Amino acid sequence: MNLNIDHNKAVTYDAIVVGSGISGGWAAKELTEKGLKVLMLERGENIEHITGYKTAMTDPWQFPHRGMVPTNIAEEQAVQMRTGYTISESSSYLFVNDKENPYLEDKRFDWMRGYHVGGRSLMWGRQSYRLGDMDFEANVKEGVGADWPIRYKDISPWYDYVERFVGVSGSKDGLPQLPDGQFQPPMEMYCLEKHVKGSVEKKFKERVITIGRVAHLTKPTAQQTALGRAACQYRNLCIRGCPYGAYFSTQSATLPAAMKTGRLTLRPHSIVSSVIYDDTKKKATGVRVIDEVSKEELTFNARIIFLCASSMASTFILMNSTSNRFQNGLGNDSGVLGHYVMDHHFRVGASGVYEGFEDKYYYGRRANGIYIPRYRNLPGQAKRDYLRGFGYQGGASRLNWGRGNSIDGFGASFKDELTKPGPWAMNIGAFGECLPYFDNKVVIDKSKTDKWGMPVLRFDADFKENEMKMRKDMKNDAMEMLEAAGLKNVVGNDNGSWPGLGIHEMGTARMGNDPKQSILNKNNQVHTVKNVFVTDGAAMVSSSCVNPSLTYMALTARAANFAVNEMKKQNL
Amino acid sequence: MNRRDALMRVAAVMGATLTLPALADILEASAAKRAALGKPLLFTADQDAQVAEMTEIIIPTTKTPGAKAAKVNELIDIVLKDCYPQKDQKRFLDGLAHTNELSQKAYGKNFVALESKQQGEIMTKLQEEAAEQRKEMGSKPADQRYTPFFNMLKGMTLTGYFTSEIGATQALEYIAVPGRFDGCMELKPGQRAWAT
Repeated sequence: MNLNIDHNKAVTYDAIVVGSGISGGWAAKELTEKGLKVLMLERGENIEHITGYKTAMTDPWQFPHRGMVPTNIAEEQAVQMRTGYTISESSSYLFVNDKENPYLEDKRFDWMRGYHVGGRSLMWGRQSYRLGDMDFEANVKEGVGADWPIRYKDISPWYDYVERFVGVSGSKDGLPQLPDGQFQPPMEMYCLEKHVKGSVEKKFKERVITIGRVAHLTKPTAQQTALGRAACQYRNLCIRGCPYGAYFSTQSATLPAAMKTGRLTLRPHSIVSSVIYDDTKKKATGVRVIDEVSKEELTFNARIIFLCASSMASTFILMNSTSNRFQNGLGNDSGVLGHYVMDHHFRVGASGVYEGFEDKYYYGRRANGIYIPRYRNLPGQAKRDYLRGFGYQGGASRLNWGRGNSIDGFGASFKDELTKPGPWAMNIGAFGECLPYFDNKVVIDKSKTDKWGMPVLRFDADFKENEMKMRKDMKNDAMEMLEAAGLKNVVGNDNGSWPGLGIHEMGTARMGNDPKQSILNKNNQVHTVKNVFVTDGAAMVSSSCVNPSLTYMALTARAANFAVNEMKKQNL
Repeated sequence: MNRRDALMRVAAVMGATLTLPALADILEASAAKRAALGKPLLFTADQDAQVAEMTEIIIPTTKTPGAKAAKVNELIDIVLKDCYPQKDQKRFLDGLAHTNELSQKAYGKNFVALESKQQGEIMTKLQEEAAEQRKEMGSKPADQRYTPFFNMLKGMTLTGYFTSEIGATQALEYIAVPGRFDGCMELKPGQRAWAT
């Protein structure tokens, strides 16, 4: 691998990509494939594809604590533990040490991070959905936030383009609110899911249950096979890293594609502290870096810079990049930098058990669930007492031996019972759109510094009235659908939701046509610093209710294409 | 399938040559220590033997080996030491002492010296006490609730057994790499549940 360990000051790159996650990987791939010499900077360590996934092939009994997290790790990862599901003995090494990576919370904000090559593309949920015109038009139609500077037709070919490379398994449903894509064959539903689908679609004519659209290969293309990727093996151990390269990550897909060009240099352990702005040239000339290990300060130069450090980290870098021209952060003439923090609100839904299908079982572990696309507040429908809507993710299975904890008993017959498949159960949980609020913000706080002497972010954001009203439907509708399908013991739940916990944090350096109200233009280019692009979640103008990563990929590929064309025209 | 086989199978699928990565060595300190010392880390030898007996009452040897054969007591020793706060460790150790008190009171012997039928009766008593404790806690705020000793023991025994190699591959059925997915198939008579 082309690792730049010894920094050569003489080297000037065509482009610097900050961050190696889902967006950074795409920027590196696109820019190198279009002929640029690219330096990709990653703040954490390198993780090699396959051999770096140190728990990927570990059997359950080989874990000394059988998955439980030792207390010393739980203390170091107290924030990362807040999800309740991401950190286990098998996956904790992919999440940050919170003691070394502090931030401040005026209000609770759950910031989940993975500082290593590949970033969160190694641990992401892989659900891949398109935003539609309903999403792009919502702000302007409702007078909320600012208008998106693009529409579905602008991004649709780029969704096509990234989906073909990523490999998204899914089913075409022909729904205007959830545009279809370039899909590989869908995964199958469980018996109970098929039954619930039938009942719900019969009773509620606007509701549809489909299989999750997920970035797993089910029928690899020649291009994917050539990169060393294989079809999903149905182990459902994705969060440990996939040694088959079956789900899309930087390591499995964009990094090998970029490396193949011979034009990518990857430098791990490189914490970008700021973008260097030249007041006379009126553009950025490079970035300042702190070596994570040696703490040495370095400078790298390039003609263009792509910030893909993650929504909050890219905004941090802009805020920390001050100069005579930009005293409040690079490109921040509008003052909106750091505002309009969004995330999806969730942890609300219902579950129940089903009496029946006792003679049905399944083979393999599907790392995917069902999806119920948004059906509330669609164009032309009667309006609810809140704006926007939500979609459900969920799934069915037969209960396993864990049910032994909630029933009395022990001994031979108890053991025998637990070795048989338990009753069928199903749960669905909603992910709701969060409106963009100016008051929901993140600032840089210089009163506290981390071990590299960098100031930290301070979060002040919460969900508000619109989200709280929506949650009533999110819970009631879930119960209503499971009951309609004849499930028993249906229990609704609302476990509370805090920004960050959805791990879809976005906004804070939004796109827009009006430079007075936005940081980026319609090509993710900083309005006032044309050779700096921000293409991760920071660019989002509204949150939709669908998982956002696919949109970051499409925006990144689109911006990279624009940037290279501009360079060819000598505009950059 | 052992780890090496599994990795080689990956290599075959990928058509790649692999070097075998190190095991997750950082995670194995306590297990290695217990193996090297040949004695428990948190428990005394007596407590260790008692836990082994109690887990076997919960998951006995039937047509498949039980909790003792799966060394569930060793796992509980390690997990309790590494993953539980001190107050939970204390509640567990107190529970072991309480079990012996109940055994002494009823039969004049410690738990390990009882006939298995007697052990079963003591366990039933512990289960009833735990149900009573949970009922009392029901109306209390979250920070005053706790998992009673019997439920701690039972929970760790179920996890320890069904995630052990014996539990996962003999009592249940374990397939490391399914390779395909079928979401709706006939359950064969006598088919065991999937381990994962």
